[in-house]
Amino acid sequence: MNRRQFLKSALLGAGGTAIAISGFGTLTKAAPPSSIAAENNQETTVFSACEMCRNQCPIAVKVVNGKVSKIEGNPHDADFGGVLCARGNAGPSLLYDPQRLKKPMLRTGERGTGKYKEVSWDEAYTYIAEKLKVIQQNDGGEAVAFASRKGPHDWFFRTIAQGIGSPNMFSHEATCPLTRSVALDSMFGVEGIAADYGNAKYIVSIGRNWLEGIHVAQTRGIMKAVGNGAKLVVLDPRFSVTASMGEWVPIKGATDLAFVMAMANVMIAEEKYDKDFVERYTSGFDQWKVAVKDKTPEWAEKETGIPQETILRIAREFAESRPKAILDFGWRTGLAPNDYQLRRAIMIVNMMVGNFETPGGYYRVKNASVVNRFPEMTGLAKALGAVSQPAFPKPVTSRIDGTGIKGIPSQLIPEGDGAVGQITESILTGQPYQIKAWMVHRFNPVISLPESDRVIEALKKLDLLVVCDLYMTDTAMFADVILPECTYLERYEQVYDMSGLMPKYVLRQPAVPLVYPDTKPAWRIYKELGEKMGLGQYFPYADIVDFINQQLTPAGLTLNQMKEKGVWIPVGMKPFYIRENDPTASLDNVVSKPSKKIEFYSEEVQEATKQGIPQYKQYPQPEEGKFRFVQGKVAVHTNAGTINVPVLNEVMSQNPLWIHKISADKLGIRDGDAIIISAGKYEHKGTAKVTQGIRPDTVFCYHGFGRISPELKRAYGKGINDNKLIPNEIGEVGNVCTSMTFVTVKKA
Amino acid sequence: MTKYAMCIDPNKCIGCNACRIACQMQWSLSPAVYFNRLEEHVEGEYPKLSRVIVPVQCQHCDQPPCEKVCPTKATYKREDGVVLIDSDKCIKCKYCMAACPYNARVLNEDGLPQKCSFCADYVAKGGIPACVSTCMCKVRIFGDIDDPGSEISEYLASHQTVRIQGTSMYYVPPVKMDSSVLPPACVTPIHVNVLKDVAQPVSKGILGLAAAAVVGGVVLNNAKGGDKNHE
Repeated sequence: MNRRQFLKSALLGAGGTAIAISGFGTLTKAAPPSSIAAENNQETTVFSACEMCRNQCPIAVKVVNGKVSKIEGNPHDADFGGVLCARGNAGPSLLYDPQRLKKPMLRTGERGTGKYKEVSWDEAYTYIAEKLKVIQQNDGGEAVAFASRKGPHDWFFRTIAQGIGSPNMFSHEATCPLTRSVALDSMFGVEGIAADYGNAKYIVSIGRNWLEGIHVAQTRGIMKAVGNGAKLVVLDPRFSVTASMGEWVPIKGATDLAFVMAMANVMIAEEKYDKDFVERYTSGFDQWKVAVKDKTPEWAEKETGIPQETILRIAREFAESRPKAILDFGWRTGLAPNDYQLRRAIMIVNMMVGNFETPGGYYRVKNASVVNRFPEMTGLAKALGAVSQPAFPKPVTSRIDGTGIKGIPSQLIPEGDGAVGQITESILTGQPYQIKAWMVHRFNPVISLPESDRVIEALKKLDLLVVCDLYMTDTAMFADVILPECTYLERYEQVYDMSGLMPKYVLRQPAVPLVYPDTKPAWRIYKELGEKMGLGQYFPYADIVDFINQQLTPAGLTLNQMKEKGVWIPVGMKPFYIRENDPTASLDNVVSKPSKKIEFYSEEVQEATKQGIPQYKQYPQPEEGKFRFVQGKVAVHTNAGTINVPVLNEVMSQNPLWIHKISADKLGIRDGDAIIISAGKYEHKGTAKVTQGIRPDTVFCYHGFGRISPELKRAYGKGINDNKLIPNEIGEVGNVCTSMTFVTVKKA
Repeated sequence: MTKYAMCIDPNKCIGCNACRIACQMQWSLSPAVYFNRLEEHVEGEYPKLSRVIVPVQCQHCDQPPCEKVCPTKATYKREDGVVLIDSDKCIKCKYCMAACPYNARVLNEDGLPQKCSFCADYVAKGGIPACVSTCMCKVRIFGDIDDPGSEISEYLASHQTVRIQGTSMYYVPPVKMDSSVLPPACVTPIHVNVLKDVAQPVSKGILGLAAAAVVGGVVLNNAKGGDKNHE
């Protein structure tokens, strides 16, 4: 029963006479709608950038009487159109949440028991510095792993890592789009390739869910295309919201590469591809032709469960819509161990329709350094300056995940990201060497990495675990030291480059003073910790404003200029696609491979994995009685990040397991029943959502629920933590493997 | 004259809930108090399925049942079509909640029934309702239908829409389902007349007692049957 139903039934005498009102303690006292802020309460607008997820959308923060009253989209950024998603709207609810971390804390009881004492920042820094010093002396700086959710804080956070000579710096990307990055890098020599959805006429999603995994500009792009009559085809085992906006093709899990190769097979057999583009701009097409020669729709039907007529039709429709056709390269990738080959194959099929640097296709992100390669654009935008640091000590070992080591698959792992799942393994197995300490910034391995119980086992074995976050997360509850960061609404950030079709810089600035005065921004935390550790020389800035000025001055900009609109786009420049008017224009400025070709066949991939051209690999399908377990995003939450934010938790605090009606009937499970999901070694309780909207051999839940930290009082104990059930299998290029787990389901 | 109305296109709604949260922030509502909701409808047999998400809120009825039953005239309808609540006059009897055909009212933590006001005060200052301005997919259009040049008038003139009978709301008919998923016409529930008879002659002092008795007894079946909340 939801609140309204409860109220109604209470009102009707069915639920008792007392009306229970749960008082969540936002500091913004509810006012009746007819009494808007009094006239003398002047509203001001602060242009800044969101951080309710990692996308950093430009926002306009409304401040009344020193409090954030509301957040809107920044109207100065046309890509975002002045609109905002639910999470972005919910910013004030996070800002004023009394359940946020407010003071630095030191652990006083057993790990995981939640016993902490509040300490001063100086005590916290001293504790960390002394512990790290001992580890550095005995085991070397490399025994300290650093992991963060990728973001502008990394410059500061990773300075500590580099200062002590640790090569083991990880982003969260291996749990998200890492394989896509690998694919783009191996083909184009650069990861910065984006899609122009808004102008496309035909869009195929392979598990991509723009309408629940929200990126405001991209969500708008998809809906613009659909509104203009574009065809949307969605391959997904589950009937997602995106699937309901187009043609739903419920593909068998882990067979996506078969579908993509069959598309190529059809396009080649029927000569429905852009021969001129392939010849002019790409290399390795002959090897690709061989690879897909026998990958007919008939063959792919057996693999994917999609009728061959459907495959044939989609391949034809896609090819005939060229070049305004997009086969999407995915976002939360890492479905199977060889996922990077799926992403490579996807981009090869895209290039076969010549949809690069044309409207409605893919394009190279045009930051200042790219646009300055075009004589007619020179000088319109200058690159941001870098704050220069003294040389760091050279790490004495290679990374624990083998990133960059030639001749093995990990050669392909992007150096700035790494295979974050390896940290768990190195702590528990000592291979390739022992990790003794883990510094964690705004990241929650217990929920975000596979095999939660194994992660927890690893956390308990550490000599030092430091977590900096906004909440007492499921990882923080095991930490020795907890550092409370302030929110994005209370701090500056280094200016970041959000270039798309044009260069773009975005500012984050404080809208209000600190709500909890003992919280701090990352730039200050790591500078102060660094100074305590004797690493002060690596933080050559007085404060963040000084840091920002060092960035902006070389770009010919000032902080005051940035504050005005929160976003800077070069004056007099229009979005441009290199091949829009001249389909034979040179792509040398945007293809960064030394060959200046888009490499279908990659020597580098051949060297690393012996598969220079994507090859199909067949993975097992669930046997009778078992289900493939898949997960995904929901529009009102950001992965492990927002579940405890009051207004968002109120919208959704649970994630039932989607199970097909036929399968549920066989198991005697009805909608809403309590169930037990078992992956063999691990089990999880949950509830069932019985639906037609999923393959009968698959079950699904949204990610980010099932929280174990009692201090997340709204989220604690509710729903399913998907990662408790997924083994920590590390994919070929360091990626998680999210679609490889089989489970059984029974009534609880 | 000004006559405010809203047009909603459920075909564009992706169910992201930005409208709900934007409204909550606009009016400083506590997390459990919200004025607009999304009703999800899924029809069909695997794998041929359809989904439509219908945003529902106060429909600002022409002859609001909530106004009719209000014993103190706390609920009133303005000439511009907006239905409002004067919380100073409200005695928290909750008749209006029982009378609403759309389940559009909710109690705040002080026990006051509240609902969508079409952002009246904000609109008066030149703003547009928060649910409209925040929407990524432009599901909602708001404006003055007495002004032929307004965005909503132009939209209604050039698109196929249905007016929810007896209300200020227009919807674009769902493409993938029939229009029965849209809110029903505003028909005054039978129990409203009973409530009205009870409400009008008595003094405020004994209303609380009367309300509990009447609402508890008479209304039960009707309102339960009319609840189309699919959240």
